[in-house]
Amino acid sequence: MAQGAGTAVSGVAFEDVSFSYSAGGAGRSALCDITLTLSSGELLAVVGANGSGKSTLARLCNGLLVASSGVVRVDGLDPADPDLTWDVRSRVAMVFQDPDNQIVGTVVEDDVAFGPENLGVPADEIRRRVDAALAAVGLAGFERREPHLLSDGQKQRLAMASALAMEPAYLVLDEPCAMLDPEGRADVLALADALAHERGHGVLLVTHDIADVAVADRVAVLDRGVLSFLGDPEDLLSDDAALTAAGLEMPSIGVLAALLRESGFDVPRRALTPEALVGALWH
Amino acid sequence: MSPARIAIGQYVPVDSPVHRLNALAKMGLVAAFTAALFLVHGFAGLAAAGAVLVAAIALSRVPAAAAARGVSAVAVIVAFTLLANGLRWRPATALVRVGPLALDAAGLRTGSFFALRILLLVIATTLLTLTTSPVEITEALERILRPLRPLGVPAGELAMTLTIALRFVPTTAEETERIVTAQSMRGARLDSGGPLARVRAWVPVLIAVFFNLFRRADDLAVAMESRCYHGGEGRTSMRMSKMRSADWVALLAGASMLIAMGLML
Ligand SMILES: Nc1ncnc2c1ncn2[C@@H]1O[C@H](COP(=O)(O)OP(=O)(O)O)[C@@H](O)[C@H]1O
Ligand SMILES: [Mg+2]
Repeated sequence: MAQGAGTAVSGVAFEDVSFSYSAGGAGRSALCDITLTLSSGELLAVVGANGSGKSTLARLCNGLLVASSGVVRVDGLDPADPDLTWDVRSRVAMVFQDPDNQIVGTVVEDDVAFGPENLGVPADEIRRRVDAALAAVGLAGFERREPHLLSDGQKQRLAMASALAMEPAYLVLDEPCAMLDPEGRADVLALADALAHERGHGVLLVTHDIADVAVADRVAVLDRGVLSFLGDPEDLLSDDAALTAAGLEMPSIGVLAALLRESGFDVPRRALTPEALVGALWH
Repeated sequence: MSPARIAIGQYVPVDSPVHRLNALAKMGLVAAFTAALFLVHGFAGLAAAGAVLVAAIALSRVPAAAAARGVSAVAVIVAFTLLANGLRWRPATALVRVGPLALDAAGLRTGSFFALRILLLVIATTLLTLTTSPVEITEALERILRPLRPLGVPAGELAMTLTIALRFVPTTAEETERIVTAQSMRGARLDSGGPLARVRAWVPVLIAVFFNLFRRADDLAVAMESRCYHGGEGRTSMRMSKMRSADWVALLAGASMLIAMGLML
């Protein structure tokens, strides 16, 4: 691996990455020539229709899948290198869609401890990390609660705490809100926002919700495995054709905002919730 | 069945000296108690053991009714033990005669000795599960199995498997209930009809439950790998389930007292 080996560039970097589930590259690729970088302190939204390759992209980030061609680097490290697997996975933590299928512990604090225990962290340091991670997601006081007694939104925040306990630089969240009610969704989104912009993690958020795109710093659109857009969310939000291609639908608030803009009001394109719209009109 | 009602084991989460005692020490004490029960040769010994148990229950602050719950599970065995020892075929002397069968006083004495022994044993183990969470029991099992690791016993993996099984019992129960409701709404009759019809109605439910379990297992394996799980090697444990000196004292003092009691009474 001559390319990029040993270079200590920070970020999760994809360079011309293609991936095919069928061995030998036969059949259609799930991902084609993807080049993008997730940096620290950045919230990068990834959107696209079902089957467009979002989960495949997410799983390439921590070596669950290995690129068929091209290179993935995590702070310069190769996720495919067996000696670096655990190093890479402690840098890139994952949260998945189904809240029930990623909780291992019989009580909340045991689940948060699971990652650091696997990494061989000493007991009192694990205790410190568990307390910090639960506080960060707003679940302090739930230590001894059984996971099945939590709401789905709380379960996803628990999954995020469990990811944080590994003290990762990057978080990859694969549709963490897909199975949540609006309240849980708002909590998880606010948390993703805070983790990127207050705590400086690089957060890759796979999502179906246009409101998530509005809080992102950049957005990537996948269209049948091809990166069809990478850039400022505002540019995507102003492009109806691109939105449709991305499988996103402008909410009625966004339609209202567009009408207001046409009538000369200064409404930013990111104002996609009633609160944001009212706030924008107020100023 | 609402999630809150699904209790794994019968753990009663209150704070007491018995609860705080390390699971390993408690298991050791139950083992010593069992040994004492088999060592005693008279009712005095059983009475002493019973007194120890009553004191332990009082100390544990779990409801006595909860401690007695296990008894109903062994009622049949207890009754059988009593009768098997007490019934005689045409004996010379008897308490009560029913045809050729009769209850014999000496036999009944032996029977109640054995029956009491079973009862005390069951109550003692029930007290263990009432005061020790499943997680603690799992951990203690791992500790006990750890010395066997060189012989190829995967202690850590076994404990992990048990933990995950415990974790998914309520989830699977909730899911089964959801599927049952869905099937019932589609007209499946799960609680009426003959046995054969009922079994037939349950088949689709079980298929759905198993299908989901396998899907869950797949997802969970990926999630665990993402969190760096790679077997028991090099793993640490957050819980301070170490035996403190108080645990050692309680275990050694308690066990030697119980054994001495068993030998003397
Ligand atoms: N384990 C797999 N084996 C074979 N093909 C798969 C597998 N997982 C996903 N695919 C295929 O790869 C493509 C991308 O899937 P995925 O990354 O899961 O998309 P998304 O997350 O955007 O819905 C889809 O066509 C899907 O059918
Ligand atoms: Mg997906």
